[in-house]
Amino acid sequence: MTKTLEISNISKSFLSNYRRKNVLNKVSFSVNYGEIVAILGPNGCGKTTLLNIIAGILKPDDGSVIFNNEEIIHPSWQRTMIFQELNLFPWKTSLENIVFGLRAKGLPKKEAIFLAKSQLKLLGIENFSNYYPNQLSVGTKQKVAIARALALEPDILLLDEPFSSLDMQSRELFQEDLINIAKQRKQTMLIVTHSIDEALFMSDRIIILNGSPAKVNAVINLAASPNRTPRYRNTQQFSKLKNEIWEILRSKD
Amino acid sequence: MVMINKKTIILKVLSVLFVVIIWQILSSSQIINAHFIPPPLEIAKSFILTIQSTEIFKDIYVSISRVFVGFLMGAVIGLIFGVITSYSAVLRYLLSIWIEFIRPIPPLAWIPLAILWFGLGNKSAIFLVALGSFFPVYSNTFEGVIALPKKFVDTAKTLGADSKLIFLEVVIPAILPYIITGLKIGLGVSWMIVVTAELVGTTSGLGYFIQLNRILLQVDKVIVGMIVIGLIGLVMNYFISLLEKYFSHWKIINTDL
Repeated sequence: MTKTLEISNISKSFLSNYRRKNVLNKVSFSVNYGEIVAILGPNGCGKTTLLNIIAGILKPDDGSVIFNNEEIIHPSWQRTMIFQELNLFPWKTSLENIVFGLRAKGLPKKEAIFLAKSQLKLLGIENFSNYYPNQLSVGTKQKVAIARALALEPDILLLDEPFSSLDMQSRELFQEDLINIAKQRKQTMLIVTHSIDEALFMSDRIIILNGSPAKVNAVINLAASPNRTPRYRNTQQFSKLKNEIWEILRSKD
Repeated sequence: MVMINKKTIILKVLSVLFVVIIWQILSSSQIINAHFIPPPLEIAKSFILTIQSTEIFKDIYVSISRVFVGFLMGAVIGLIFGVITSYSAVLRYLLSIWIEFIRPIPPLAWIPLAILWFGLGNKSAIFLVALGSFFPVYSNTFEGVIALPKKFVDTAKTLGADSKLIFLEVVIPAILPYIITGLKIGLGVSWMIVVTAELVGTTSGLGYFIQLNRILLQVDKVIVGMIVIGLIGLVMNYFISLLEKYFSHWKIINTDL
């Protein structure tokens, strides 16, 4: 398998209240083509910081991020991100939000509109094309954000606690939908989450990040796991893995 | 929506009719002295005569053009200063001490200096209007740029947007509602200032029209002038509200959902 993303010895600190706080300490891992990797860790451990560094929004103090054999300097649509707060532009309709992304990628307007419409249809929200974000339910907003990111066909899709605003049931449905789309397209994904269930259900590999400053404490390979059908959540294997991960998170705290 | 509009219009008309009728009754029964406030019918008559003689249109034109030029100058300078000070911290502190110092001085306190510098007439009035409209436009623009959420700019970048696209489709729409609020307040202030400035510093315009008729003891015409000032202010506000609706329609939440 070939690597698309390789992170080596990333460290990052912030200045807060005139004191330097180390957030990340020599974090290293890599992501292969077509792989779905979850970064699991408690809230506030620096997962989002790590994702922002990979997206190119933040710069690391030390270490390197190599993406398709090149050092990351700027944000790029090839590493587009679904933010925790979704960040849909409130002054743009669902359609316009997606069109904006496609035009930002460099597509001509006509083609962008055509693709955006088919993306809305794919996610079953074409009826909401001309609605503004504050007219939409949380779930529909979520779908628009997913559509905006998927439409770009990024090399890797970064997701920051993507479903945290949804209730438990919708959350599971969204996980299932997204995993289906991702598997069909062989979409490489890097998901940041604090939910063991989410990480277990969605990813091929879990990277456990914790401590202060955070470092990689364990890597759990799940590539051989059975298909991600809803039933998988209720299997013994699932709960066994869940307990194992709990133990790791507890012991390294 | 249509129902609500009809209802509000009916209520507004009823309110005006009610006050005018009561006023007419009080005047006719001589509870109100017609020397101080002429009865509505007399004002209406005077209003029609004034319009027919067309003398007031020259004053309306003069006042509006003063506001137009002064407001435009004040707004453009306010806009530029607002953007500059929100982007550069050094310039912010260099300029803000002066802006904050001058802001509490009422534009009308500048009348003596304005007359000294520009003489009686257009230039003085335009200067005062520009001064008065500068502050609301400046501070709202400043606030708009400062409040621009970094997250939207970051999001645009992760979608691959270059700085031109970010400026046109993220920065501008995000700060436009703030700027329009500034323009709205600025225009209201401008209209008040121009009339006041014309009371003292000019020999034309609606303010002068009022002042002249006060000297001539034509109270009905003074009130006609005031009504015209009020009506024009209302129309200006209406047009800016349309602008506001157009550029911040996305802020309106659809209650059907």
